[in-house]
Amino acid sequence: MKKLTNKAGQYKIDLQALKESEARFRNIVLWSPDAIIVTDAKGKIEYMNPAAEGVFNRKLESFIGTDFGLALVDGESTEIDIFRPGKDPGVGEMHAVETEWMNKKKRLITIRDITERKRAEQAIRDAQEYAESIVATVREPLLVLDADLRVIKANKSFYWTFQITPEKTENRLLYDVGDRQWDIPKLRELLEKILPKNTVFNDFEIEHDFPTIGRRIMLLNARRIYREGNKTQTILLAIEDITECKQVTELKKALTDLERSNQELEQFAYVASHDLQEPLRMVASYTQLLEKRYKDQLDQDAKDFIGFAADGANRMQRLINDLLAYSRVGTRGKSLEPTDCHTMLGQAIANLSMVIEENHAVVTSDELPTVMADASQMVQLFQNLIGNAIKFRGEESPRIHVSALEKGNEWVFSVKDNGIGIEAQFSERIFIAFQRLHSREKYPGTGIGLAICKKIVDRHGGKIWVESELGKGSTFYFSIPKRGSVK
Amino acid sequence: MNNEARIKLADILLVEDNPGDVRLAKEALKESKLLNKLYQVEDGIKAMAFLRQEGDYADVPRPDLVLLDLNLPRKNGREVLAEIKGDETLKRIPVVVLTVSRAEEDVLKSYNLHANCYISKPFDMEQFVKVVKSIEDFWFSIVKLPAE
Amino acid sequence: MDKDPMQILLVEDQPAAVRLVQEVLKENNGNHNLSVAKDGVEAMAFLHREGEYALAPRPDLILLDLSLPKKDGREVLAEIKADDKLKRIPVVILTVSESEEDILKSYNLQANCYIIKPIHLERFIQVIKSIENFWLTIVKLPA
Repeated sequence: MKKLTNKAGQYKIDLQALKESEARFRNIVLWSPDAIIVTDAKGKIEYMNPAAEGVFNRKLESFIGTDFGLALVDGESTEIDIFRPGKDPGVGEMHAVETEWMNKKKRLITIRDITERKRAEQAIRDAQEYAESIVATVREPLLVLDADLRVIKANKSFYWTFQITPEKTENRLLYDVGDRQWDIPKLRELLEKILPKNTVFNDFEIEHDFPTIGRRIMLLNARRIYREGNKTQTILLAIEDITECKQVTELKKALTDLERSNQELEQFAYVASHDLQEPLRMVASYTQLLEKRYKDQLDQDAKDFIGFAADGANRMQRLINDLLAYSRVGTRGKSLEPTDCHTMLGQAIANLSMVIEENHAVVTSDELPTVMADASQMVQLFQNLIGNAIKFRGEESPRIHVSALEKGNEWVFSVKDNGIGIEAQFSERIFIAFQRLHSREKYPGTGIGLAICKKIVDRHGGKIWVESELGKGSTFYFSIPKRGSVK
Repeated sequence: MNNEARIKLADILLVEDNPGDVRLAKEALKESKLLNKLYQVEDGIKAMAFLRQEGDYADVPRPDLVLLDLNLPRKNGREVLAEIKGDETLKRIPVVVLTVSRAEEDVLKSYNLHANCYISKPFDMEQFVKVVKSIEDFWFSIVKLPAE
Repeated sequence: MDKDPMQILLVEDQPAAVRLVQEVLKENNGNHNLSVAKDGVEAMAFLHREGEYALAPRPDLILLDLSLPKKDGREVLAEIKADDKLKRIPVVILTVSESEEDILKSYNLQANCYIIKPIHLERFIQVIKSIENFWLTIVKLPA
C-alpha cells in the first residue's frame, strides 16, 4: 500500500488499494476448501467460512459467539470427525495458531479434509501388510536387498532352509551373510552384471556347496524395483532349492539310460548268439557226418581230431544256448502274477521225469504257497535246482525235499538234497555265470544253471544262497517277497 | 540238461462221430509220453461252437490241433474246414483231415481249403492207432505250433 | 508207398545247409527226388515253370526257409498259398527263426506246418526223417 502523506502529516488512505486488498482476502477465505474459523482469545467464535459451515454442518449465525468446544493445542494438529456436504462423513486435520490483529489476540483455526489421504494411508498399510504376509507365508526363501546388496529382510523360509539366524543376516551385505557362505561367483554375476541391465531375471541356476547344508542346486528369480517414494532401489530374490528335483531328474535320466543300455546289450547278446548258431550248426553237423560216413576209412588219430572238433563245436553251441537262456530271463520275463508254487514244482518235476527215473530220485515237498511271480521262471528255478541236486548226487539215490517258510514279509524256500555237497569257500562263486567246480568229464554242464537261478530270484526281488557240507549234501535257499515288485 | 522250462500241455479237438474211432484215438493218445488232452465233438455245429467257445463250450480251451473227419452229421467236415480257415483267429490252428474217403476230389478240395494235411483212416485198427501216434509225434514233437 | 519218387522242392540259400539236407535224405534211403531253389525268385520261377524251369516237376512237398535273398520266404509262402494252382502243395517251413511273430504269420498265411531247424545233427536227422515219413507214408498228397 502506498503510503501517502498530506502536508499536515496525516496518512492518506488509498481507498482503491484497500478495497482490492479486502476483496482479495475475502475471496481467499470464502472460497477456501479448508475450514477457517476465527475465535477470540477466550475461544468464542467470531467468524467461520462456508467450508467450516460444511464441516460442522451448521450455519455461521448459530455459531457466532459460542465456544469453539474442541480442545486445541497451539501449533499442533489434531484429527477430528467432520461432515462433508454431499459425501460420507470423514476425518479432518485441525490446526490452530495464535495470532493478533488490530491489537486483539485472535485464534486462527483451520480444518482440512484428510479423509482421502487417510484412506490412501490405510490402503498403503493394507498393501504392506498383504505383501509382508505373502513374504512370510510363501514356502520359498525370499530375500529383500537394498541397492548396496545389503539384506533388508529375509523370510522365515530363508532362515529355515539355509539354517541361519536373522541376527547373522539382516543389515549385512549379502556376501557377508552366514560367514560369507553367500559369496558365490555366480550370484555376484547375477547381482552385479545381469540385474543392473535388466529389471527382472528369472530361472537363474546356481550350484553351491554350503557349509551347513551341503551341495545345493538353486533356481533364482531376481527383480529390481525402483521405489519412487524414497527414490531407492530394492532387489527381490526368490530362491528355489531344486537339488532333490534335479537329483530325481538325473536319476530318472540315468535309469532311462541304463535301461536303454541294458536293452541294447540284451539285444546284442541275442543277435550275436542267434547269428552264431547257424555257422556253428554247420561245423557241428558236418564233423558228425564225417565221423559217420567215413568212420571205416579213418584211423584213430583222424577220429580223435574230428572228435575234438565236434566236441568244441558242441560246447560252443551249449554256451550260446545258455547265454541266450540267461539273457532271456530279462528280455522274456513276464510281469509278476499270483503263482501257485506247488503247480510249478509239479511242472518242473514233470520236465525232469526222465532224469528222475534214471537216477531213482525221490522228490518230496511240503505245502508250498502262492506268491507273486513269473510262472515259467518259477518252473525254471525249481527245475534247475532239482536238476542240479540229481546231477551232483552221491552214492545213494537222490532224495530231495522242497519246503517253504514264512518269514516276515517274504517266503523262504529251500531245496534240500543228499548229494556231494559244496565247500564253504565256493558257496558264493557257484552263482556266477560259467563258474564250475568240477571237470567237464565228471559233471557235464556249462555252469550257467545257478546263475540263471540267481537272475530269476533277483528279478523277483529276493535272494539266493546255499548251506552245505562237503559229502553230506546241500540246501539251497531262496526268498521271494510277498506281493513283491519287479525290477 | 535243458535249461529252458517247457510247459507242455496241448489240447486236441477230435471231430468224429464214429464212437469206435473215437475210442481208438483215445487209446492211442493215452500211451504217449506227451501231456495232451483230447476233446471230442460229434458234429460240425458242435465243432464250430467249441472253437468259438460259445454256449456249452464257453470255458473250453482253444485247441492246438484239430483232427477232422469229413463225414459228419448236421454240418459236414468240408464246411467246418472252410469256416475254420476262413476265420481270422481260427485259421492258424492246424487241421488234420482224418477221414475214410480216398477220393482224389476230397483230397484236392481239402488241400485247396488249406487243410494242413489229409490222412486216410487205415482199415486196420493197429494201423489206425499207429497213424494217430504218428500224428501226435509229428505235430507235437517235430512241429512248432503257434502260441495262443 | 507210391512207385513214383516224391518230388521235394527245397528252397534254401546256404549251400552247406542244402548239402546237409541232401546227405540226410540220402541216409534215409527214401524214394524221393530233391530239387533246389536258392532264392525266392528262383523258387517262384520253378513253381511257375518259367524260363529254364519249363520242364521242372511239380513238387509234392516244399521245404521253405524263411530268410532268403531277393524274395524272402514269407513272400514266397504268401504267393504260393494265394495261387489257385499252387496252394494245394504242402509247404513245410523249415527255418532257424524261433520268433513267435514268424510262427504265427506263417500259420496265418496257411503254411502247412512250421519246423525250427534243430542245432544238433542227430536231432536234425530225426526231423528230416520224420518229415519224409509223415508226408510220404502217412499223409495223402494231392495228385
